[in-house]
Amino acid sequence: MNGEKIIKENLPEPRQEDHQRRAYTDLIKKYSKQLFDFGYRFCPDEDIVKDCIQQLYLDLWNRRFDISENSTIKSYLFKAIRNRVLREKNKWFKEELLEEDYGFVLDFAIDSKLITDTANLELAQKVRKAIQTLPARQREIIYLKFFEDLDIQQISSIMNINKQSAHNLLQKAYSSLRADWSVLFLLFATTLQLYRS
Amino acid sequence: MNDYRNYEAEDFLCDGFFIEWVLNPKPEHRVFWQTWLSENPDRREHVRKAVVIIRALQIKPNDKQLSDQDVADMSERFLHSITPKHSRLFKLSTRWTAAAAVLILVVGTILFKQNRQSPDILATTQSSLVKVYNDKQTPQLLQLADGSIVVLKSRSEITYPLKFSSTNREVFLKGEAFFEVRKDSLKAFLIHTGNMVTKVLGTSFTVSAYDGDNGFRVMVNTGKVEVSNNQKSADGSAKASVILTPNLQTVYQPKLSSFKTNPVSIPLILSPSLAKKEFSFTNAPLPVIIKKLEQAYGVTISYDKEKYEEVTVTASLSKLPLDEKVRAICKAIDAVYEFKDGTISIK
Repeated sequence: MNGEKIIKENLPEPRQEDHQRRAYTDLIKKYSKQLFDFGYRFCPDEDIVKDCIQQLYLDLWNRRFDISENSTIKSYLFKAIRNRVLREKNKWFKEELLEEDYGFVLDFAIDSKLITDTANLELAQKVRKAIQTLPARQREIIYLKFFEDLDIQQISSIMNINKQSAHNLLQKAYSSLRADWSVLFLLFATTLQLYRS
Repeated sequence: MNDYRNYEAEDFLCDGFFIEWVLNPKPEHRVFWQTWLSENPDRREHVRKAVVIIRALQIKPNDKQLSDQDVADMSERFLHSITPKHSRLFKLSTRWTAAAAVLILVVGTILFKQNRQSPDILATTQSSLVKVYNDKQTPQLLQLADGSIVVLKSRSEITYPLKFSSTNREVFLKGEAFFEVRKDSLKAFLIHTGNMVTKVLGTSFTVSAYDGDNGFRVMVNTGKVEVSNNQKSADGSAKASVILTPNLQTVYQPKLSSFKTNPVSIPLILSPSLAKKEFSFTNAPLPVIIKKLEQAYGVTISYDKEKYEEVTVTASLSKLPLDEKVRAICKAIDAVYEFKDGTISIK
C-alpha cells in the first residue's frame, strides 16, 4: 500500500509523459521481483515468466493505463501476470497439463533456530506436510493472504472468483489443514499403540 | 469472531485471524489479541506455542529469483521500446541476450505450395529486403540487423529485411539454415518455410526446406520453439503445431497434417547439457577451440595457424552466442575478428 502512495506523490502531473515514464520505471523496480516470485510458482520457466512481466508493462503503457490513479495497482498486476503466465504455460506445455490443475509451488522450511523442543518441531512438521497436500488453489490463496498480505477483495480479483468464493476457499484451506492433522494424529497414535503392544 | 476460550495451539494454527496477527498485524488484531490474552492468561502457553510455529514456518524461496540486474534490464528494455524510433539510443544490455540464446536446426522440405513469396508480408514494412543465395559448397555466415546469426547451408536461400519491423522479426527460408536468435521478448522471431512457421521464444536453431524435398524438419539445441503449419502467421490458431525443447526434432507429415516429434539420437553439441562440457576450456590450445566451434556451427574460421598454434585459452563459452564466443576468444588472445564473405577471420 505504501508503494502506491509513493507513486502518486512522484506524479504531481500524471498526464505528462515524462512523469508517466518515471512512474512506470518506479513500478518496474518495485513490483518485478514479487511478480516473478508469484508467476514462477505457476510456471517454473524463467524465460517465460520474464517475458510475461516485460510484456505486461508494455501493454499497460500502450493502453495508456494511468498507474497513478489506480489505487489497487498491486492486485491489478498480480491478476494480470497470473492470467498471462497461465496462458503462456498452457501454450508451451500443453501436453503435460491436466485440466483444472494449474499447479502452484509452495514449499516451507522450518527454521530450527526458532524451535527448540521436539514436540513443537513435530507439530511444525505436521503443519508443513498438511499445507503441502492442499490443492493448488488453496496453496495459492494462503500465499496471497499471508505472504503478500492481500485482503479478500484483492485476492478474489486476482484469482478471478467472487468475494464469497474466496472466503470459502480460505475457510476450506483451514479446515482441510485441521482434517489433515487429525489423520496424522490418528496415524501417529495407532503406530504408537502397535509399537507398545 | 470465533470463541477462542478452549483453543489449543493446533486450533490457533488454523485460524486466519490469529495467523494474520502473527504475520501481518494490523491495529484491530493487536487490540483484540492483547485484550483477549489478558482476559485468558491460562491460554498464554498455547498461544506462545502457535506463534513460534507460525514464525518458524518459512516459505522456501524459488530456485530462480529475479536479480537486480534483471530488473534493471527490464526497465531499460521498457524504456527502449516505448521511445519513438527516431530518438532511440541503442544501448541494449548484452547480458540477457547472451544468456538466453536458442539454438535450433530447421531442416524443412515442402511438398505443398512452395511459391509463397516473402514480400506479401514484408511489403507492409518499408524496409528493403535482402535475398541471399548460397551457391558455394560450404555454409555461409550472416548476421541480421538484430544481431541474430544465420548459418546458411549450401544451395539454400534466405530473404530478410535490412531492418526489422517494430512488431516482429520475419525471415523466409528455402533450404537449410542454422539460427542463433537474439532474445527480444517484444519481437517474435519467425521463420517462414513454405507453409511452415517456426516461432522462437528467443535463441538459435537450424531450419531447412529445399525445393522439391519432401520433408520438413526442425531440431532444437537450446531454448524453445513453436512450429506450426499455419497459412498466415503463428498466432496461436494454427491447425497443427508443436513445441520443441532441446534435443528434440520434429518432422512434418503432410499426409497426416501432423508433426512427428522424436528425441535426436545423439544429444546436440550446442544443447545446454553438452555445451557446458564441450565449451568449457582449461588451457586448451586455440586450434582445438576453433575446430570445436567450426564443427558445432558448421562455419569456417580462418586464423594464422602458425602464430596461434601454441596459444592456450581458458574460458567458459557455453552460454554465449557465436559472435560473442569469438569475441571472448579474441579478447583472451588479444586479437580482432571480422565477419566477411560468410566466414569469420581472426587476426
